Amino acid sequence: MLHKPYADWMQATLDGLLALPARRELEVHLAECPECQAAWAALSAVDRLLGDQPLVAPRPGFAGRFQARLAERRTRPRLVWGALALGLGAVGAAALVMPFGLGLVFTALRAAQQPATSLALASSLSATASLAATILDALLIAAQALVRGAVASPWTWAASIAALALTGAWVYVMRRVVPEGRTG
Amino acid sequence: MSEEGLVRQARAGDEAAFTALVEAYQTPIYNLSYRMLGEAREAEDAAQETFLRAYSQLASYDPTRPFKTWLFSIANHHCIDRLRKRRLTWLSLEDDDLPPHPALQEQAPGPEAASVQREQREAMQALLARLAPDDRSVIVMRYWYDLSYDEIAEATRTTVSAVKSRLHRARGSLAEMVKKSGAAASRPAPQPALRAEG
Repeated sequence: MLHKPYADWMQATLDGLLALPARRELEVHLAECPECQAAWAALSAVDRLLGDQPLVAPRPGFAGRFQARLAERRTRPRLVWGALALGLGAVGAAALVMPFGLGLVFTALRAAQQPATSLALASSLSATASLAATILDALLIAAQALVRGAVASPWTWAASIAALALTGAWVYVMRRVVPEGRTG
Repeated sequence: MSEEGLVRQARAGDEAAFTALVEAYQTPIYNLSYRMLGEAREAEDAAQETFLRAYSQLASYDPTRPFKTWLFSIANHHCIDRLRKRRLTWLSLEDDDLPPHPALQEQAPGPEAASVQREQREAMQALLARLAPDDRSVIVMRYWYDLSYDEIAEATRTTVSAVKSRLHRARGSLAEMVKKSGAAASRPAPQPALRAEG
């Protein structure tokens, strides 16, 4: 336990606020009180240490990074409003389309409950399925013929390589041209 | 151009004028953030956020008050908010023992001096990190910027007596930590009359 009022006086001394008579009294007390002497040693060591600390500076380009952040912050509300408008539009469109869709489904269900309609529906579905299978077969045969022809042709290879090179060049140019969103 | 002129132009919407203010205050604000948060990346982020907030709140700035204090106030509150979010648990003075403080040991001569200085900086940062955020900000403003009690009170939005009490408590806590390091007795303290002369 430090002796009153010397603890407060030590603090006032560090702030340069202790009057001369009190300073002298503190001096006398410190000379005869080892406890307060140790406290004063620690306090003045802390004061010295804190006084010696340098200012830490940020990395170079701080103001530039600030400008980039400011620009980014400005575009953010526009993005938010855009997303909100899109979302509201989607909800509105769904609200418009849903009654029609539900109406169609209910009508189909009601029609399917009648025997004659069910038979007609089943035969129509079967005809559609067989037509789809025939078209798929034809597409498969055509694709096989194309692949065989392409592998044998040097022009196909040249075109593929050129397309790859163009894609790579496009990506490189876009990366150079389009600025980064943030520099920090 | 004077600071008042830059502030006036910035308030009128001149972004270049505000950027000039950013350049003028980047180091003090970054240093305050670094001393409060103790981590370079977070300090950069906090300092940037301070300037963004200042820019967006320029209309609420009272030009009769010092711009520096207003900026410090924004930075200080932002850092304290960040620290609260971190949910740090403050170590009590009675907790674990601290390693001996390098500043209280003998000064190393010659080429080792830089390394000792770095150690001292890190040790001081570690000690600061053990203070409560409100106490820490008062210490930083008093020692790094030499702000008066009134200015600190304005920047921390509190009273002068609260500032005084926080400063004394913080300095006392740091002194206790230094004493705990066990090396305080190895260096004699200067007599108060020598320090306070004049």
